[in-house]
Amino acid sequence: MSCISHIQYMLPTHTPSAYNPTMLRPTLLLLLLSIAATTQPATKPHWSSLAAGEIRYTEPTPGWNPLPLTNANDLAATYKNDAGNAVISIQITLEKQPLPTTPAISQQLSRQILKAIQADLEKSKAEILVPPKIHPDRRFLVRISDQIRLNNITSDRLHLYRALGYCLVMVTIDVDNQPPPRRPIRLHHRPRPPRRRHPRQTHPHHPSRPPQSPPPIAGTRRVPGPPMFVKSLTACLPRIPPPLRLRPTMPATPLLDATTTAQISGSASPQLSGPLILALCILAGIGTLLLLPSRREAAFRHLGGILLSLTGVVFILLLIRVSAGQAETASLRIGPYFWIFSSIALAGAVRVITHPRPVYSALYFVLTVMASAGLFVLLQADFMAAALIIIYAGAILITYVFVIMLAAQTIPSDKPLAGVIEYDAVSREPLATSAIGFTLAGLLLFVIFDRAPVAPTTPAPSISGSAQSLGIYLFTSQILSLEVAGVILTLCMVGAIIIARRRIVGGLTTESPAVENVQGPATPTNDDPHSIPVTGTDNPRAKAYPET
Amino acid sequence: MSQLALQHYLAIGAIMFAIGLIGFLSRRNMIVMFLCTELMFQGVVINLVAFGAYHGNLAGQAFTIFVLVIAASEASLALGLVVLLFRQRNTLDAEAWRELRG
Repeated sequence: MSCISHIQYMLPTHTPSAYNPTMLRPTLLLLLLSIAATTQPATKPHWSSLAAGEIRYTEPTPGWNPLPLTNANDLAATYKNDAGNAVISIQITLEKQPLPTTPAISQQLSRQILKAIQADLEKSKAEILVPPKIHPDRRFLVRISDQIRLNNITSDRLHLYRALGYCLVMVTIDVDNQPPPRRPIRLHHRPRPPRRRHPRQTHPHHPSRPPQSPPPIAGTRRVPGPPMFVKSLTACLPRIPPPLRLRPTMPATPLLDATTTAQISGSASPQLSGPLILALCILAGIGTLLLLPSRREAAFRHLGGILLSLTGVVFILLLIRVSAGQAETASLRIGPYFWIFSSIALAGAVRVITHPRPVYSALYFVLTVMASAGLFVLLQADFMAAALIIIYAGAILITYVFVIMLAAQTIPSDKPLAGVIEYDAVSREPLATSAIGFTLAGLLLFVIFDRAPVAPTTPAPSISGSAQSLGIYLFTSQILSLEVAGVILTLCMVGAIIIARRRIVGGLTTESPAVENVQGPATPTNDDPHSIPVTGTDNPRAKAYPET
Repeated sequence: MSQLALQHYLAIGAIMFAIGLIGFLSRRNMIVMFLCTELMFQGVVINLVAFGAYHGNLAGQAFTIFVLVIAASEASLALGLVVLLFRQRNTLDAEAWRELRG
């Protein structure tokens, strides 16, 4: 039984491409030492692997001999004990998709396996002493025990199934009983290892044992289990866990129904093609170039604005056409609100980077944040929409506006942009930056629309975007990240206070101004408290009411 | 949420990120430069929430909260530093620190 509980799913190991052997040796030594410290050397298991190392298990204890396999596909292993009355058979089937381990699917699988075992028993003409019964066990996907009699030999069988990624591992334990007892032996809830019966087998003439029947002769015993079991299992295999059987148990709302998938994969024409994206990006780049702050005439900037908005309108119309070509079959949630919010967001973003006055940039950024919050509401992320408005528009942007006011400068009046300081009015390398930015945008759009793999992935269950579910998720599975976020916020608060407290005088950082050195007793110069600064001086003579 | 809707949201996020990048590279006012980094954060956040809705889990929204945390921290520290730099050179022009180019 120990071999079952130690089956592990091994992740594929990646060998490092280059490593330093001088560093590797002490690391390995440390690793070995730590392993030796934690493991008990007396019961060091011997590992074996199946399915090209995907499945690793501990071999049974001495006394169990591996048998030559009937299907040597590296997917099965069979062990027989010395007495020849018990067989452990391990068999693996590879699935086309990862096996789910949810309770509902496990129940359905266990029912299917039970049916398959019963059908197999009826076919093999074995006498069923104890019908197959499912034992609930959290360690296994399915655990079934039965007792049969075949060729006048009674055997207890235990079938254990486990799903490990793409592998379904089946372990069957077959123990031949003594000649059939009156009442069928029931397996305990926690099955005993089959080795327990060995003493009775190896010492058949023990005096305490009632001589019920002649002890089995080694020669006459049937060739124990493996042929029968492997045969029966392989007979069950195609029927028990085929992926087609698993499919109905998946949630019944596929992401894309077949017609939609065929349409998306088959029709490339309504999608945005590469040259179209390129042309749009070039137009938008020229528009942004003209619209970026510069000392040009106002007519050029108006032209840039018109060009950019025209490009945006064309892009949105193309997107609407793309979605309209497929909207008949799929219930798409791209309504008019999406287009409104996204246009507002993008227009606000363009105005953030092109408006020459920083305060207006900040206010346009508030507009962008609001439109993004609207998009979040469309995505059923209500809490995130509220948090975005509160944090961004409420806290961060107010800080920006305050800093813009703090760092205001005297503004020389100029001709094209009156009242705008020079570094706001003239941008830096507008041609190169527009080219870089819209190259990036074009590449991203190309990847999103033209090269997107049509993959109907796992169906998306509709999540409730309520704050409650998000809070439960954050405070259960993301609790460590949440604590780290709190620590980061505290650190930033302390750091900002320390940064802002530093005084800068003439380009040098000084801790405090020099104190005027005063000698002699302090004498009041004027009794009128309004004529003398009470605070802001270290000179005791300047104080209205000196201490002495 | 279908794949097509996901594509649209990703497109909006990508364009917003690119606009923020253009602004960060081309503007000379340091405050507006940091405002443009916030714009890039917005694009990323739209992507995260759209992916979360597409896969039907809450991981995207949780990640968005941490992005907001980082944005708030960045804003406080960066604005403190901007005020410090402004006091040192008496200008917000990023070109005033040209000598850092080496």
